Amino acid sequence: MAELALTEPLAALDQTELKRLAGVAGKWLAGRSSTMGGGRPHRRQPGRGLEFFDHRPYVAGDEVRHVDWRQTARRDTPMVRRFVHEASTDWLICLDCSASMQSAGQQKWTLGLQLAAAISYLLLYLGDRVALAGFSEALDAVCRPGRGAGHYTRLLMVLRDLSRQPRGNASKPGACAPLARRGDATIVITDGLSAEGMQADIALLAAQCAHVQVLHLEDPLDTTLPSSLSLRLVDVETRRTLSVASSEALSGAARAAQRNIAETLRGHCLARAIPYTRVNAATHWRDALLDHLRPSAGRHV
Amino acid sequence: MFELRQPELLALLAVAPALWWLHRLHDRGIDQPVAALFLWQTSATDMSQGIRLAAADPAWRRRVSVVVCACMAMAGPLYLTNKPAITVWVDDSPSMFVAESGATRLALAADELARRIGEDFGGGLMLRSLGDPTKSSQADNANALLQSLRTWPVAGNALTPPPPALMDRGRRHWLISDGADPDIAEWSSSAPLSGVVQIGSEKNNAAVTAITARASASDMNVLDVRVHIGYSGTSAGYRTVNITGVKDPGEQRFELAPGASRIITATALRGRNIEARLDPPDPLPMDDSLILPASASAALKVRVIGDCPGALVGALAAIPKLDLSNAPGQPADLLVACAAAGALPQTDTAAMFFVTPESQPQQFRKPVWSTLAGPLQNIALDDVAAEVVDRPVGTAATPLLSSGRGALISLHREADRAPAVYVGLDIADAAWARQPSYALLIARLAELAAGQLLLDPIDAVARGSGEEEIAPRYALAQREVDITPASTGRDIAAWFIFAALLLVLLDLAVLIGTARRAAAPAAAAGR
Repeated sequence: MAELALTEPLAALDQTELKRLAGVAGKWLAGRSSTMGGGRPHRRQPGRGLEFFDHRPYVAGDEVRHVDWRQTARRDTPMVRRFVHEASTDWLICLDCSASMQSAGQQKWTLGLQLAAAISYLLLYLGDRVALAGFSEALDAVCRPGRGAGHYTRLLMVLRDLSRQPRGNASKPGACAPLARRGDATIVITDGLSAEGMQADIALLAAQCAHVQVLHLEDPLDTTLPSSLSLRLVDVETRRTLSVASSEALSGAARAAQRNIAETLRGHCLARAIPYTRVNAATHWRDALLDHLRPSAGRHV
Repeated sequence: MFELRQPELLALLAVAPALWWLHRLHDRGIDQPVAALFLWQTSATDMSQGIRLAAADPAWRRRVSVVVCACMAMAGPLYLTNKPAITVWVDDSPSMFVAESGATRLALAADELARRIGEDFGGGLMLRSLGDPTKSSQADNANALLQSLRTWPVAGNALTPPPPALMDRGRRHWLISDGADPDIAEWSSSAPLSGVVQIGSEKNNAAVTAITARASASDMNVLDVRVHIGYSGTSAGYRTVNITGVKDPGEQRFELAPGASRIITATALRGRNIEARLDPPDPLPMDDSLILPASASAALKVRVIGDCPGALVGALAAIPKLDLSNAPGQPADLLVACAAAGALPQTDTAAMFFVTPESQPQQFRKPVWSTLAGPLQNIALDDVAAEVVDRPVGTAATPLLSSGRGALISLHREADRAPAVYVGLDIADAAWARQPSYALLIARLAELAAGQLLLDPIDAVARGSGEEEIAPRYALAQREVDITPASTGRDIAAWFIFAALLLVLLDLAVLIGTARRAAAPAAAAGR
């Protein structure tokens, strides 16, 4: 991979470790159902592409330019060439760039950046094409699909730039839908904190592309307040305020609301065979990634 | 039992609810960024107890407590007792120090007061001087009361009783006096006195009331002395006066009629203390003798420097209370200098500076006199030459004699400096020196510089008028004074003020602690 001057948290990604993980992931993911966590769509499927897949009899509507005349002569029936459906190996990584990702010590944001970079590396290592989209209430940054080491460098540059600029004021993964093509696989890395819920956006993405995965980052500090204080809570996204008296009871109720949001999102994903992994923001990126890749979806890290 | 002097001030407590309401509008606490406000909104809505949104700042309790304490302090809280506070007005005129039955009237009055008040000091007892309004003393028990009164000093001034309207109606007022002073008797008739201790029966007292001395008309170095003796007895008495410091010291016995006074004459030389002493001593020994110190009649030492004309020196020498025999190097009381304006000496003693004209002085053909009220008002200078005096520059000068161009004679007074008289007249004018106005002007100017009368002064020492009167001839009034129940307690407003201050300090400490926690939110959150 090309060398790129990176700062934390991207600098914490160890290339050697990434390469070893990629080797493990390649074995794990081979042939896994796309409904499983980390699962990849089968690469060798017929479709549009340049790589030859197989032959099949000609049917009405097939393009004449795909007729393999030599096979037609040999079999005495019109045969056409089919190609590997290259779009099935395109991945779109959607990283939540909303301000809530950077609240409470930026643990979620740090882990989100590292996971996006690590997953990109793995997929590129496995030969897939990877695109990246940073979203908040709209698309904040886009890196077009590509493959190879050079593209990983481009992805890192986009992630680096994302870590520098201010974030948006909402979490709408549906903003990435225009980038998703039918047959693409999409990984959404988000904290799931949206007042309206993310179910509609996830459903939109699922309808737009062939395969969706959700990495839900949770930070316990999001529901922790300084004790014994009269506080004015300020939403980092909407700037709306709420005056409360800090107490353990209030924090407990907030944690319950956070759990409720996570369970709702998880239930939504499971109902639609969308792999869902809930990750504690304090977790190391390697552990979070391995847990997502393990053949059990919907786990908590 | 508590009582309030001004309970209507408790109406100010009505601000307490307003204070609570204002604390609901407080800054709603420290800003705490959160990832998603709806987490907390949902929590607050769903909670069955514990959380009230926009609750008042808890500091409202402390601040309302401060207001309550302040209101209580202003309302004049009293801790009611059956032992009211007492103020004892002490007549500390000399007559209260007459010795009777082996003790002074003041000591006897202290015993009587302690007997009548008993041990009832619960409300506190304060001794106040009638001779010195600023002098007071607290007594918490009978022993302290007796000790204070037995060591009470004699008043140095005339008695000045307080106006009755200004006396604290919340205390019981007592008076201890002998009834010798008519002013105290008149005051007692209108003052709210709850008790009076009138003591004393002795009536006969002779006193040396004054000693005066004046230069003799025949010999300026001899003083004519008069010793004034007063007698306040009710029956004729005999006394012997012994005068020392006079030419013919000795004793002189005479009879004193009731209420009469007598003057004994003598002659004395300057520079001696003159003392008169009566014998035999009477019940008030402190007024049986009096001393006229020698310094009162001593002549002022004058030093003449510069080229002063003989006429000036002669005029100064003619003043009885000036001594021109002062040797050089010895301290002088008055400096006389004649020099040009730029050559006048700097001095810290009183001075007369006669400025020598550097050019031909202006000749006044018409009489010149001062229109200002003062010692020069009646002196007219005829056909004199003079020059404007404009020195020293920048000092505070009062012109005593002026022409159209400026001051001819000016008096300079500055803080922390002796006065100085600057004279621009041509003091060497022989024609003027022969005029009577010359000597008179020099004498008046010397008086101005010295700050005292120098021509025929009378030196005197005297006691206050009527101090020899010791007979308790006036009956002091005593009447029952209503003391309202609210006024018979101990004022405890200070306790509430103290509590309010403590609460303010506590509030400040909490504010500082909160600010520190806000500065380190991560630490406060236990991260």
